Amino acid sequence: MNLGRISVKRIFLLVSGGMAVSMLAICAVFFAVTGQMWILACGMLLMLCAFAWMFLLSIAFGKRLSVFTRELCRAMDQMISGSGEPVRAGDSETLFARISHRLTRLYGIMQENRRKVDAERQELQRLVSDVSHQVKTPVANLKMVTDTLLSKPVTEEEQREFLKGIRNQTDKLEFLFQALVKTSRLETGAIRLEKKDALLIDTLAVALSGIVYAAEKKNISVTVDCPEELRLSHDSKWTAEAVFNLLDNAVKYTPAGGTIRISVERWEMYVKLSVSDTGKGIPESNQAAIFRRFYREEEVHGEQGVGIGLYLTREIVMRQGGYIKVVSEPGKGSEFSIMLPTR
Amino acid sequence: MTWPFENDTGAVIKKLASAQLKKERLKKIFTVTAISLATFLMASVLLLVSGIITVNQKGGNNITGSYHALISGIEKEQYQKLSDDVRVDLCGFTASIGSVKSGNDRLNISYCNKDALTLNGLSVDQGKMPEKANEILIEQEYLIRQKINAKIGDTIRLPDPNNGQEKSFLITGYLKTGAKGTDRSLYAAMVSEEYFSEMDGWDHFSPAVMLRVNLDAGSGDVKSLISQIAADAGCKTAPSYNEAYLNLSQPSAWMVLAAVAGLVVIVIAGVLVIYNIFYISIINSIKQYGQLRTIGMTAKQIQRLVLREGTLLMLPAIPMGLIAGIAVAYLLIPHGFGLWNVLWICPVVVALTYATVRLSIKKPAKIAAAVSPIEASRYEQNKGPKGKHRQHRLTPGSLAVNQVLRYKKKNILTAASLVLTGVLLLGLSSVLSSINAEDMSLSGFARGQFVLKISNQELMENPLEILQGSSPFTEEVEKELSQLSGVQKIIDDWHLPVSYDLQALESDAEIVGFEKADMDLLQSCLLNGNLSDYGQMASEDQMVIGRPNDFEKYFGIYPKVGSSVTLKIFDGQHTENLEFEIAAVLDESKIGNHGDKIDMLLLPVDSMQKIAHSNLTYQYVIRVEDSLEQQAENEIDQIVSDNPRLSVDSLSAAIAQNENFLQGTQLALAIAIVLIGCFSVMNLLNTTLTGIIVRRREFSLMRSVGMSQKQLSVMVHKEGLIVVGMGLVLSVIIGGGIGYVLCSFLKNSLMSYLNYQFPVGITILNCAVIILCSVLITTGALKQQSKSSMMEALR
Amino acid sequence: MNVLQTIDLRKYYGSEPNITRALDGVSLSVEQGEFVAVVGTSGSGKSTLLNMMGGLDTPTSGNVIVRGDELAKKNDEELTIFRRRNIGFIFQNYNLVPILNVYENIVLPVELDGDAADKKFMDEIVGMLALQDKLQNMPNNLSGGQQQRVAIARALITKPAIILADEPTGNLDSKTSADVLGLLKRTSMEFNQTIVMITHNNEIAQLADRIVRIEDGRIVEKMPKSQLGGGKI
Repeated sequence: MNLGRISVKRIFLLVSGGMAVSMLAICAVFFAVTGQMWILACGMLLMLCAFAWMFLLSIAFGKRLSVFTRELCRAMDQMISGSGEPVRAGDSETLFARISHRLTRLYGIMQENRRKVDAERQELQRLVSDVSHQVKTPVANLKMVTDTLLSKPVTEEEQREFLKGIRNQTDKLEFLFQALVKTSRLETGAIRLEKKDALLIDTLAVALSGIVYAAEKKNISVTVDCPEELRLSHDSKWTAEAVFNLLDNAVKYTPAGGTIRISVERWEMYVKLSVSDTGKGIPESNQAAIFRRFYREEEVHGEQGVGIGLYLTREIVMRQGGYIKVVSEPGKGSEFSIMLPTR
Repeated sequence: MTWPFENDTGAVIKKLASAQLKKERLKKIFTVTAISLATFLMASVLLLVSGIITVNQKGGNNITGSYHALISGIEKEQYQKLSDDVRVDLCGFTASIGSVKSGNDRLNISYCNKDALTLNGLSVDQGKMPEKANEILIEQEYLIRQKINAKIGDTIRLPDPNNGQEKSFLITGYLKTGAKGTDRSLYAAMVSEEYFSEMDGWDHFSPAVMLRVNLDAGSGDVKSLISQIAADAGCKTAPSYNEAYLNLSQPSAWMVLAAVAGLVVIVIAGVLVIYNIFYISIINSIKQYGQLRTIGMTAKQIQRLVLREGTLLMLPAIPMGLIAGIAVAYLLIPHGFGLWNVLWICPVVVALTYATVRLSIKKPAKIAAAVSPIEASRYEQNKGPKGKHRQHRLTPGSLAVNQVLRYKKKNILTAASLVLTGVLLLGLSSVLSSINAEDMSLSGFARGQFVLKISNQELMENPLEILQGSSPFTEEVEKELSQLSGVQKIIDDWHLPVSYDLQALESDAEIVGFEKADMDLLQSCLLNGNLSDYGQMASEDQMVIGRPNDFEKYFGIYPKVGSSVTLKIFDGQHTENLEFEIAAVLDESKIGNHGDKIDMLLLPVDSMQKIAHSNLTYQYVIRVEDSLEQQAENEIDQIVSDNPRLSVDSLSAAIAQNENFLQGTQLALAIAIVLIGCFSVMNLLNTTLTGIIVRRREFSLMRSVGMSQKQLSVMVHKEGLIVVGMGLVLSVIIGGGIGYVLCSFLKNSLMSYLNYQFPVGITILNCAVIILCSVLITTGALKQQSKSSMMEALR
Repeated sequence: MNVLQTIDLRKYYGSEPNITRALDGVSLSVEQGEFVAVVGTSGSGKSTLLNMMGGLDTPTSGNVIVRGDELAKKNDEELTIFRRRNIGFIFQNYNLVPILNVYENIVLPVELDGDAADKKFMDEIVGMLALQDKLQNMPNNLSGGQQQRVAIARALITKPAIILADEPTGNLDSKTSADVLGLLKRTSMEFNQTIVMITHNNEIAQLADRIVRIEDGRIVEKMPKSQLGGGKI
């Protein structure tokens, strides 16, 4: 007999039935033993009394339950139509409070979802504005140069110079375009990070291959300290890209003759991958901002770059369930640590 | 319980309670033991007391018989009315037909109906009741004694008690009386109703009716009910009440009081232990309760948690205690064991135990519930005394004192347990050690070590005057007595049988004789009147009323000096109505040890001699030289065996009996106190053990800063001894005091032979046992702890 | 949306002239999904602040508002039930109930409310915290780091409005600390869980989205809420 399935009506009927039978039985026994009429009458009266009160109880109980249900339904209707937060029932050890707490939370989640949707839309807006901002300059430059070329006669030397300039700007546009595509794909989830169990050292090798040449040119020594057999469940391609961005920055901001060191440690829950350099360092006030999209340090505007490398790195790491942190002091170099979860 | 619409969080509370108990084995063991013990004791007390009452009520008591009252001189219509009366439970009809003498033996023949047999404690052993006039129910022992070779179905010839002619009787069965064996000289036989009618029983024999009334049919005083019934039936003689049985059948107030007192003691002892156990356990888990509160457990939930622990512990404990209690009660009083008793006692005990446990846990539960999450995280057990205090020299002893003061509450509770046990022990053993079997017995033998009197059997079977008519105190006997070794004095007590009812056929009271030598004694108890001169009193047959209250009960009026009272005196077969003037009335309260000398009615012996001619000797009180007492006893025993109608009460027998009784009481008390003592021992054990276990880290810390194991051991031992010492000292003082007060009270009221003596032996034993317990458990626990390494403990 | 807000919180002990100002006017607000670190030396008042925020202690003056509910208006029972449903706690020590095993410890807050834990969510948390094989173990069989992971699981299971962590890595070595912190951060991100952590260690504080420094009962520096570009999705 499943208590959850029995209808309340049946419960009440059963209880009343039981009550009636037992009272009658006791009454009969007493009557049989003493043979007194008044006992029978007394018993009957008591039984009637009990029935009357039982009846009252079931009515009162029913009404109470109706009120409870009505309030509950009303609160939920309000939530559905979005007209307001459900009234809190207070923190008490009652069923109402328990339900109300969940309703409130449900409402909160609904609000949160709405907010997220709004935020996403805003995000998109911002992306568009960022992009247009970044594109403006190269396009303006291009226009200027082509206008000049079209309007004035120029020498072969000058023509060469101007065309180089155009190529520069188009390269920049291409660079920008690719980076944007990457970002958008990542953000819209068009690209899925596939975690596979693989040797971390291979991933590092891929990342390193990108900067080996640049580092050599600046005479920066690169050391790698990673256990060869360390396997990790991660997306090799994207992780390599993330690490490459770090290395790229390290090379960019470390003066000639400096060192870059990659070290990998395995902990119980995470694998720590650190890239440290002897570069110029990052002041504390900027340490949160560097992960922003299109952020670039003032002094290095000359160098190639769009300013989304660190942003991408952070996204890639976070989507794998890890996180990134930076320890840095101006003049002393920086250490970027990527934590990747072991599962 | 969870009301509708209330959040039902019972499941998690049950889970936490079970988990808690699984972990704290020590607490479980001690608490279950304590609850079982309490249940067992309560059940035993109630069952034993109700068992005793049941045994008394069932009236399997052959000596007193189980009838409420006897009405003599019954006529047929009265008998009819009585037996029809709804209020009468059993209406026994009895009539003495006569007695047959054969050699030294006497066979008393009577007619009883079935009810009378029951009420008298008689029964049919084999066979059945006689129906025809020539049928008889006879004691088998008589046949054996008389060497009559007859069985059931055979006929024997007996002289008819009335006309001496021999008559044949057919044996229909064997009669079983309270008496046993064939060493006696009195036997009984029963004839049929037909015989009674044929012999014109209503006119020739004086039938009597024994009544037992329905106790539930009418409430109120049994006696007034009986007199009502008698009056309704038209009885002319007043019913004489079977005081002995009446007292037995009504539960004595003292016994009920004793049972209640016992229960109260058990409850208090139990509460002290269980409260302490839970208190200690909760104090040791304050951090955990704080955790729970932080996570979101309300105060109410924590209270329910603690209460649930108590309930879980009761589940195994109560049945164990009940079963043990029932078993013990059955073993000790098998006859008093009744299912009905068990049925009502079990729920009562369960309810009481439940109440005890709830009471004990209530406060600790409140303490647990009141824990605030923040304080719990900073909680350190009983921070020391606040404020400054002078630097003391630190020795193990002073550290011990500090520790004891830190845990004031639990130590006080432990000491209180010890005090409770000690007070009980000392109080009761003070009384016991002050009683001496000799002194106790001497009060009954003030005038001499031996009392030679008519045997009880004889006195029961016949009225005194008949016996005096052929008194067993023959000259032969007198001569032998005077020749006893070491005999110093023989006192002759004279009793004259009388009756207030001038129509009575038998005496129902006695006048006790006093001699000139007794005048001083009487003078000392004088209340009203004049005790001038023995000679004058003797010549005028003046009476002294020794017990005016009894007089009032018997005669219905308070005795007045100068008034007269008319009594029917019985002198053997001869009766006479005489009038006596009351010369003096005595004060009952001053009688003291002389109870057998001073009775309700007193008359000078010389007067008695004038009045009656039978041998009025009722008993001889014999005093012999102490050194020859044993010898004299042997000689008196010989006299008694030669004269079966006499019996002797000797001082040595009384001493032996009292010795027995005292020892029995001592044993019973010892067992009871040991059991109650178990509570305090448990409390001590639990407090000591948990105290040591909980302070493991602290002890290791002390060890690591340089305290040697020996010093630590000394400190912990001293702690235990301080608490135990306090408890014992207090209990000795309070217990001794109570013992003294109790003894004085008893000495003044009942037992004048009490000589206060402090129970030194018991006290020392108690102290030794408790101290031994403390030392043993401390040593054991410390040893166990020292086995694990110091660092491990510190971590 | 403000999950937590403290308004001019003050906690004073004793009276003039020996008054101790544990908290001397702290106003702070925390948004949904933020991971805030409150940093200060010992005695700076950070623990007191945490206790106030969690309703474990009452302020001398000022108010704490959690999800719109004023804590000051609640009595003891209401506060307790509020804590049960809305706040998760992680402490430095004595986190777990020693008589229950790991699984029972985790679901304890839910069961105190008479509910059963949501199996799917439970599996998710247990998986993330790598506790699957430890569910039957008793707390005293676990290492410090494992115990803290259980504590995190327990703090998460009711999906509280806010998790308050008091020096959660105080007793742990650096490697385990990093592990535990990583997990905290990850849960904060994955479940959009608001976490307020107090610590005296600057390096640990780095992991948070926002650092609040407290000294002598007052907030001395608030890192500007970092504009993290696209924010978290």
